[in-house]
Amino acid sequence: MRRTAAALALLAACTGALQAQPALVGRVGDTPQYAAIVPAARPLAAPAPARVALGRQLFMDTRLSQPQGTSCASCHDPAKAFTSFNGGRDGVASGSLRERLGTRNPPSLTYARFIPPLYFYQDDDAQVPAPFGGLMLDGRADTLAAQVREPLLARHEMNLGTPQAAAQRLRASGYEAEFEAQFGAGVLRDPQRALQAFGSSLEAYLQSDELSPFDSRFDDLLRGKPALTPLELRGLAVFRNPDQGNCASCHSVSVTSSNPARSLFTDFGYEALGVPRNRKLPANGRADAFDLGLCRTAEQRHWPDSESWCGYFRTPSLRNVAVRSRFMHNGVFDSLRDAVRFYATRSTSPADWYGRHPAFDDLPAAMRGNVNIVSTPLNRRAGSTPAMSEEDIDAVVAFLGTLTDKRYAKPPPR
Amino acid sequence: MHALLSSPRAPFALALSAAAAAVVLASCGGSDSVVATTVDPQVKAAWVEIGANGQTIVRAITAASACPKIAIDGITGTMSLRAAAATVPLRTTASDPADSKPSAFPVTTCESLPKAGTSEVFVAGRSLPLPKAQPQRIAVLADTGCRMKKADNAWQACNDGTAWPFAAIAATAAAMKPDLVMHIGDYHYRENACPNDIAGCKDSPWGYGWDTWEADLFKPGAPLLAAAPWIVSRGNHEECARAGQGWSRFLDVRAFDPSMSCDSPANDNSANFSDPYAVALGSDTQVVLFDSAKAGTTAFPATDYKFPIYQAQFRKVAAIAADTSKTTLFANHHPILAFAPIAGGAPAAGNVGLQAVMKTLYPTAYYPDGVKIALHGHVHDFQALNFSSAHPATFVTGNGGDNLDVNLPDPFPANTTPAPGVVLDRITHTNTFGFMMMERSGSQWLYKAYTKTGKLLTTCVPTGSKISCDKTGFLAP
Repeated sequence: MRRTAAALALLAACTGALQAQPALVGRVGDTPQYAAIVPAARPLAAPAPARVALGRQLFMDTRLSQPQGTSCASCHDPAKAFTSFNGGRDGVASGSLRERLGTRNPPSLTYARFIPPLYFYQDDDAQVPAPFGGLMLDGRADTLAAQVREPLLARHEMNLGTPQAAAQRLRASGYEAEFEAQFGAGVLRDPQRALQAFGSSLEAYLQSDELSPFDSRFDDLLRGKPALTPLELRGLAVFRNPDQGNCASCHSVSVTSSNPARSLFTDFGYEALGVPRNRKLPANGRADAFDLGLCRTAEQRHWPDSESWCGYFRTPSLRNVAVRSRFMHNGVFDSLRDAVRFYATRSTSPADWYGRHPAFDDLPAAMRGNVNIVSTPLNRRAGSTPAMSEEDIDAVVAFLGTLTDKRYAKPPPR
Repeated sequence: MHALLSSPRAPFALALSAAAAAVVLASCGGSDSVVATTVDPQVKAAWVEIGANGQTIVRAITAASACPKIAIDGITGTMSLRAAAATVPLRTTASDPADSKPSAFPVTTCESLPKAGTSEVFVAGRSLPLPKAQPQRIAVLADTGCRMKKADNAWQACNDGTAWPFAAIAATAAAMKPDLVMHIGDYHYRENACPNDIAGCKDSPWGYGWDTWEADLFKPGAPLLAAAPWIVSRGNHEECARAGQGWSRFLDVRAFDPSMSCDSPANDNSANFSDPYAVALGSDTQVVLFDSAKAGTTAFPATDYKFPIYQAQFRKVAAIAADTSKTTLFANHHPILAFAPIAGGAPAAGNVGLQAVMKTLYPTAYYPDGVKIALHGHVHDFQALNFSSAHPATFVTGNGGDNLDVNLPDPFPANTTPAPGVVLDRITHTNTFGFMMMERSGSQWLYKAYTKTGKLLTTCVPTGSKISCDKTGFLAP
């Protein structure tokens, strides 16, 4: 009994969870439903420095791919807010085999430490429980450790293929002594243990303050400094106004909180936005090929009516969004202004976004009813006045530029 | 107990303004002028409600242990004790015990019941508004409090009038000089302590005691409380495990008995319910107030203890609505024949629990004969629904200040119904903050939706149980 308790304590420390989960009130399929939201601003354990150091080394190591030459950093470049394309194109990244392209825009890993495992919550006024959290844009990984193991093996990413191959590559790359020092004797001789240790190491690095510095100009504002220009402040107002951008209804911000973790610019919830199909992606060469997002996870976790979640993707943090060069889950937009303008005019000028194709063309016709058509500003009729003007859009884009961490920031506008 | 009920009216007071009345009262030789002109800082709130049988109810909340003086038509007396100051021991609440606390009511709630026809009432230097025989304007609003709820991780910036605009809404509505105010429930939302690092709600009171009611309702709503008598309906936020203790002390039109109240969870199965009653809106209209605080959001079976309670209450609604000399409106918190929006899904139907109860009594009509229009809150938006089937047109006015819900789809999906057998004709809706004003126009009431700043969004004209709004679909603010 005591040993179990100790093991649980260790597990909690390893996963960075100091605070107990909210009370379990039920399950939706295999997924827990809690009595409360898991707040972003919860206390998280600081990862052990040695583990962080090992994780950083692994993250940058281009030997850990087949063929060699691709590391985690190739698609999550620390110099580019932990996102990049490894020579890919049109919004998706190349794998270690250059001809193999991914299907999604690589997400930034900054501030990913705050994403909780996938769960459901239902407010007592809500009609149905709603999912939150989960790593990957479809929530299929519950921890960073689980997430980082996938690209190591995936054929279109680092392509090591199997746990055995991954363990062998780690040994061949000279990690055996360090892994044994941290995870015990023989760890790289057992492929499953090796993968677990690899995941734990990467997780520690991703949980380090290096990826969550909270030193943007917006954070300066939270700390009481007059850090934003009038245009940026107007953008913040539009961003928060429920009659205009209404962005903060999903991209959560608490402008009066001195705790920047309350302003991660995501509620970790899911939305089906009906983003236009990225027709340049090889994966979309077949007309019947679709990235359905959360419903694949829903199916795996036995949620009832899993198809009702097709087209949903987890709301990403907007911190460092201005550092990115491609936007939305399929990378269809190459400018931040287009991404913001899409929200403003998706419903008022659908032809601007879908051309001759039907609206919500990146979903099968039968699933387009899942798309959110009720949240402001997505709810206006075609031909009506958008909830955000062109000037509002400019202001929001200017404001989003204030969410850039100091290491990526250009000098502020005069 | 209510000696003033039999007090003679000052025969000349009707024609006098409040200021002039104070002079006249002084000339009568009593202490009326003191009551009329002297502000008593101990009195935290004073207002008027209308209860069953048209009873005018004057309420006051004072920090003193004794009730304040009241001058009714020139006669000075002392208000009666309704609820003494008390701290109610911690009971089961909607929150975890660690996030709950005993409800402190360090105030005395007092009341007086002036007789019909009373023309002037003064309490603590305030002239209180009294019911008019023929009200011309009725402000209608709901869901007004500032949300502080740990389970939702929701910390509305109560200190920011933009983020929580109830004070602005109250001021705007009050400036339109309503003759009545109808609040359709959910006054109180400050349930859990604001985290220390959030300035937006920093230092806000929390829990269910007087301080939270003062912050959520009595201070920001002061202009509306001073403007007109209130007609009150109870929301799910005022059920016993939430703000029921304050509801029964401050707003419930019935007599207060602490031994039968929400103070003890042992009373919940009775204290969460109250019988419907009617309030006249002039000589030709009445509104039935229905307490649905415990209706919940999911269906409950006929074997549930709530089922026969609500069933009996709807029979009483039928008896009230049987008065064919009046147009009967029905007001309760939970929408019955209206919608709850869902992002990425079809709008949810009305309250399925109440619908199931109503179907046992009125299988296709849901409402008893005589109910022409239904008024609700709960969903944080504005909706005006007209049905081509024989069902009462319905308004939802839950956009009074708490965090908004998402909109309904526009255009509205065909064949979507709030209840089986109910056929929607037209729906007009928006989720911007605001309120509704009922305005008398000849023999009927116009229903006008306004934004928080007083911009008119739509006007709906009733004909029997139908309405015709001058706009359809989403109303851009």
